[in-house]
Amino acid sequence: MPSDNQSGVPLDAAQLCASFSATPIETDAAAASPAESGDLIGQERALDAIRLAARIPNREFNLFVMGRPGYGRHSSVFRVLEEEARDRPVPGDWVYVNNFENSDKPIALELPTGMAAKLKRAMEVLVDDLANEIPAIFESEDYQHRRRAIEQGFGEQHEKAFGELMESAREQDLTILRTPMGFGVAATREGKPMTPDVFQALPSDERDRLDHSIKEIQSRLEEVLRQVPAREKARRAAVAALNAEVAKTGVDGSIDQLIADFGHVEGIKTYLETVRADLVENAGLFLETNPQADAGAFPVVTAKRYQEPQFRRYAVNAMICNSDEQDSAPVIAENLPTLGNLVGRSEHASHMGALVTDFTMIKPGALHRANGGYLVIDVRQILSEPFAWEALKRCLQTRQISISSAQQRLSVLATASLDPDPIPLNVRVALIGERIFFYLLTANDPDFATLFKVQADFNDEIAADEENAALFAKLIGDIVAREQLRKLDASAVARLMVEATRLSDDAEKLSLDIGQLTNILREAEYWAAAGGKTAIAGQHVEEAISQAETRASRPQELAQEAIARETLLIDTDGSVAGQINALSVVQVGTHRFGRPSRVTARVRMGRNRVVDIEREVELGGPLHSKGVLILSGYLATHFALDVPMSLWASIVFEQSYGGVDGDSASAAELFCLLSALSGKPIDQSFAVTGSVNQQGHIQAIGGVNEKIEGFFDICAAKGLTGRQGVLIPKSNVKNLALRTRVVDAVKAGKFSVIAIETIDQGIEALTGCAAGARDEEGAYPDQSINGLVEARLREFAHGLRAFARSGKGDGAGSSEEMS
Amino acid sequence: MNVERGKGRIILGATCFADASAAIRIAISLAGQTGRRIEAYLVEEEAILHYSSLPTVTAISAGGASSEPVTADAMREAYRHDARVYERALSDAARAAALEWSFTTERGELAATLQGSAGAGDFLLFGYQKLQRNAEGIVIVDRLARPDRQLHELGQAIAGEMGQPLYLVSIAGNGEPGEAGSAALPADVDKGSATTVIEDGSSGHAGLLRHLSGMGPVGVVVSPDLASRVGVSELLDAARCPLIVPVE
Repeated sequence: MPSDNQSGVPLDAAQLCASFSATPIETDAAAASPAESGDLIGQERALDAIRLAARIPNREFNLFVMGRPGYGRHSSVFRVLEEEARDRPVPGDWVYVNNFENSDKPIALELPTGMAAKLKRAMEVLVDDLANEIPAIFESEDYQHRRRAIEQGFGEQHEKAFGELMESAREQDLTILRTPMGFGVAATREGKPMTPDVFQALPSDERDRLDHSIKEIQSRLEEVLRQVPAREKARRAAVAALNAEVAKTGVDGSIDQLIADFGHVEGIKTYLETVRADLVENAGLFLETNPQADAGAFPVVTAKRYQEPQFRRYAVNAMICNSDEQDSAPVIAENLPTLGNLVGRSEHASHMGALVTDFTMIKPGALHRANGGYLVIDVRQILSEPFAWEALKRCLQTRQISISSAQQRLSVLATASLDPDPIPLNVRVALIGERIFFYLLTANDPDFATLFKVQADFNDEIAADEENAALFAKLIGDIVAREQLRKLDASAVARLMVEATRLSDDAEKLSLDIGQLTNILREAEYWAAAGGKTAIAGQHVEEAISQAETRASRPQELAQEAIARETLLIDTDGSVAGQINALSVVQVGTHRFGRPSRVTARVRMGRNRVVDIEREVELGGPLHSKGVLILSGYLATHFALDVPMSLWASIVFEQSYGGVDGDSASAAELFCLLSALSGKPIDQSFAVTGSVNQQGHIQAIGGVNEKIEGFFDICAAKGLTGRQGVLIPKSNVKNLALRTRVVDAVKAGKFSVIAIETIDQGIEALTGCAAGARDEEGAYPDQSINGLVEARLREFAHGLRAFARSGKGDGAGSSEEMS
Repeated sequence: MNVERGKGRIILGATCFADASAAIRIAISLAGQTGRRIEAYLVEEEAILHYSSLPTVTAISAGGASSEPVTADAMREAYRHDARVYERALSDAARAAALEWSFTTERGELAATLQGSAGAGDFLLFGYQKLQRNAEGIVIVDRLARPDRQLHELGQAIAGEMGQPLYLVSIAGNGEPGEAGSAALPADVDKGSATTVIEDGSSGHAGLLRHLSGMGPVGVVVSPDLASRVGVSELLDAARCPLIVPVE
């Protein structure tokens, strides 16, 4: 029998799972320190990065927060940014107002904090006041008198001219006829137009006189008629001047008051002067409607006239209304960062079948709301929204918010659109996402590295030392307080810490997956409540973990059932040469479980080739092929170095119909080959996991806990014999966080976990035979595994040489082999 | 309004479509209020036809431009054209207001043709195109001594429907020069919304025509006896707007 050291180290139960001593967590105590509540542990680097991004004035130092979901990235970012926002001034307000010269280009105005709402209301009051005052002014006796005077003045000019013409015609025995072809001037007798006969019968001098008179009257008629349009134009101008003069008396007082109230703000005075001019020019707007008929229950003077469509031109679209009472800059999260939600949009209304818009329909986006502060966006969300990522970059690059729509970008909708003034942008953007997005964006988007210079990388775990264990317990206390759970006893805290090592796949690390820990605690709370307990105990945490695994374990049970019913052939006792139990991890959804697979190897004389059947049928991935090539290298460089390698071998994962990848079975495959070559059977009570290098060292693999548990469950189902166990790389011992059922079986001596460092240790444990080491002459002991393997390989080499000399084979091939 | 409904007709007449079009709106408004039928006439005036057969006569457009010499054939063709558009315009307006109507082309003299077609209770409506767009007001022309209440109600109804101010011109007696009249309208006559009341007890027909000539109203409502005494064509030439005359 080999020594313990040569056949690997069976691990104590204590090595299979971390253990912690913890103190209970009182709910009240956790809630009693809100100031510290929420402080993340082990994330100082990330938090420092967030603070840097929040404080540094350079505009391109936007932030990318990366890490796995559930690790507190969002809450941490918000907490830090909100703290920093308190030191930044509350930003000013922004409004859009009508551009009276070009309504398609609304004007953006920046106002002091809290003034947007006041200006908006002041303009509404202005319109309401003028809607009452202007009609009163125009209905006044004074205006009516002056208007009538103008109308009459022009009317009298016309009527006088026409009347004098008619009178003059009558005096000359003429009349003006109104015919379908126009006006005509005819001679009359006794007030009636002359017939042609009568006219022709007149003396020639009389006819000449009448002809002359007719021509004169016609000429004067033409002149009077030609004066009509000019006189009409003059009349309109006179009325417009009167209207403007009268309207101005009503408008001036109100506008002057507004200028007194708001005129000190840059741009407002200019805007109000344009409003004044427009009000005077368009005073008729206030005369168009007669709301009395529809006043309803409210008197006309209290009606909200500013809501009427014709007065929208004087509205104020308050895009950003901050309050005087705010004490910090904004911290905004946009959870649906569509293009419109990000940069704002101009909405449309249906009018007579057409879509129309104006400056009042401009809606702010997240960038508007966050301007002067911070904007937090999930990178996955923004990258999945059409045009949103490009729009965000453009805004950050140009430092201004320009509103554009997807329809405009695609030119799919021909309708009225606006081109509002861009609003200057001063915002710090924090993108939150998994690391892969950071790396992909860095590699593929040249703008990204320029605009997002700060990365905050959240750790996935922390070292499970004494100090961190105490901090971790506090983290659990925070969760308990936040979720308002019942208190935890010491066993519950300790069990959660064990689970944290399991989540991190490392007995020396505590996972910081707050999301997952919270879920466990919530469910443990349920089980504690169901049991009528006032505190959550370790058994409740265990129950929560176990139940969650059970709920997700249907695929695992199906696999185990197939083995138990011998549909899948796995031996857990007996010995077979060239056959071994390898272990793999299957992930279905979020559930991972280990499953044994039978690996077999066959050898014979031949040209140097190890056939990886998985690769041949394209079921093996590149890492698996790499493992097979490495073990081929091990064989070729460790045995029968004085003869050509003359081995033909095949290795296969039996009953494997899906893909195989990874090199964690390469040690098992090598053990299988050594068994086939040496003829020494492998104890099927064992399963093996680990990768191998060309020096024969066993290397760490992933999923060690699931693999051990997977084989344990199969053995338990078939009956534990006490001989069964799993060989794992020694370097994986630190990753062990096995479930209680496995630890208990090891404690009871019914199952073993053996840590190995070398191929020799492994083959000795599996075969019960010494691996053998070369003596001073370089030879392995005859009956050692290595000695038997070397002898077999020499036998193949000699056999192949003899075959070549016999001339029965391929001459060319044989000569190459021989050379 | 108090104007009696359903009785009588509205006899609308003009010598060209331009004049008729100015009166169609009044006719439709009045017919809508009173439920009366509209009988429309385009009168091919003998005088105009005679005029067009004179050598080298010209027509002057509303814009003041002289046309090529007018011929009788061209004038007849112009009448036919005006008849078509006149009938179509009336048809469209009456159909929209669900009113009964008829259209006839007659040859004769405008006032005589309309008066010949009218009976008691009808309204005569003489078309006349205003050249000034700023025409304003409906003018009631009545006798100071014997005011006609129904005439006032008719004037108020038209003014109200058309959104026009109402003016009142009252002249003395039969309107003969120098005939004395009272200084004010009797108290039982409702002046309605009349904003301007001209009471002229001394200047007779000439004064009436002078008043009308200077006012430039949208329409004039005149009592039948005054219309008869002063003359429709004289009133039209003075007022230069549509003229409404109730028939007794």
